[in-house]
Amino acid sequence: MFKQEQFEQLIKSALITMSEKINPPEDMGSKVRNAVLLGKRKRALPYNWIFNWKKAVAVAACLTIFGGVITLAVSPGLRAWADEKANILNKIWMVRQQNDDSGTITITASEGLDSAAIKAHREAVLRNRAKASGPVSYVPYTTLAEAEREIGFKIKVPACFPDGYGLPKRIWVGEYMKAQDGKLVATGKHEVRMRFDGGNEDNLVRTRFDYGNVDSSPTLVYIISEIGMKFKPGFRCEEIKVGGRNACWYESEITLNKYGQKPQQVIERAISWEEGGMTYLLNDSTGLSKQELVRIVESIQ
Amino acid sequence: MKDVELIKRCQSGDINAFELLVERFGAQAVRTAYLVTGRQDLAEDIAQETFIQCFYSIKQLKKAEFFKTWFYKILLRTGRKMAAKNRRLLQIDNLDNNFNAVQLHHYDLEEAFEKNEAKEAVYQAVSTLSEPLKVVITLRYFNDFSISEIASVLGCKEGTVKSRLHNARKLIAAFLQEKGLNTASSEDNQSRKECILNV
Repeated sequence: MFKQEQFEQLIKSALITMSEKINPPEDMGSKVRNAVLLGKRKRALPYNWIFNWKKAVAVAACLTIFGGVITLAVSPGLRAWADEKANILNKIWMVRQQNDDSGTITITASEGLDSAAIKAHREAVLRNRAKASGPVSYVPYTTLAEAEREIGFKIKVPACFPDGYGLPKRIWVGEYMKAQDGKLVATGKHEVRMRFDGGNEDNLVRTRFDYGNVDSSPTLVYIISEIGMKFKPGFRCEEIKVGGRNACWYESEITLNKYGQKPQQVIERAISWEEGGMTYLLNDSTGLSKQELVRIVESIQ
Repeated sequence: MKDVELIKRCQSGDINAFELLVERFGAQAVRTAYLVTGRQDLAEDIAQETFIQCFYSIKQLKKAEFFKTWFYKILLRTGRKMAAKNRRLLQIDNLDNNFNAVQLHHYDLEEAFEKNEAKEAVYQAVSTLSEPLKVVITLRYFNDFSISEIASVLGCKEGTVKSRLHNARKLIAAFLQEKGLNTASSEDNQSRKECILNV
């Protein structure tokens, strides 16, 4: 009879015999010891330093950004420089206007405008960045000669206009200002503005590019600037030739908001060009066609 | 040096003592890994990995007396993980086993036992068991663990271990019978029945 004890003995014996098929290595102790020591060294380090390009680049980028942020945070000089650069490069004039008793309109600098297509404008801004910072005060003059005397350059104006449009009664000269010791200090006159549509000439700042909803009425505004103008991020324009000049043509739909009135959708068209170090802009939201605007620009002398 | 003393020295970070511990338990660990996983190619790696893990966590062992159960707990866990990870690798040793499969023809078990063939048949039977049953059989008959120790290693109740052991033995006996091996004397049917029942 084969009892349970014998059966268990058989199992035990079978397992032992079968396990003897495998011979454990004699140097297992030293192998494990080496592995442990190696692992110990690895674990002693705060990080498993296996070089990885991607990680290295990511870490370098993070450190650079972090370093930059720290430097900016602790260095007032650098911060001031960065602020100035950001203001000049990314922000430009005209969002809010204030009329005082003397008829001066102060327009506060604000939003940024950007464009690859009108790189020249940006370059002009960079060239003149020392002059341009902060708000602009506009002073009206009644004759071109007077305004030219003030601003120091020749103001070219169109010779012909469509019906209902013409030269204005007032020419606005913009004086740039910057903050110094908590006060605004004038830095020079660099810009001329005028309105050709015969509307309220106090509202000179209504252009597509000054998108601060300053004036809700459609206008035809003409601007000459020594400083240059920058355009909205994502701004795209078509490069055209107008009277032998390389110009930038821009057209889009905009919304005119007026307090207490329903917003009005209108087409805005603009031509901008560089000439003699000046930036010119003719901006219309009164509904003139491209041909009409081109004709106005062609007649500028 | 006694096991307990050796383990205490290991807990104090003595690497030489640990090497001694590996030499003392290494062979048994490798063989257990082999029996449980059936993977000759992995057994040594499993044992080594277990010892490495053991080195790093031996300080957590509160009582040195429980080293054996604690160690086999790690070994089984590691074996399970590594076998699962390498399950797609070809098991050459298992192929060999298949070629050497024992064909028994109505031997009496005692006679077969003498011929060493029964051992292979039993091992084949053990190999066919499910992993939980194989583990209890190995711990019980190869490592000489008590029921309570197995329960401690597996983290289950003693009743569960007993039941698994019973089922495993029954399946092994059935396998042997299927192979034509009488687990009782052919002259005594009653005894054979008893034997089967006893199993």
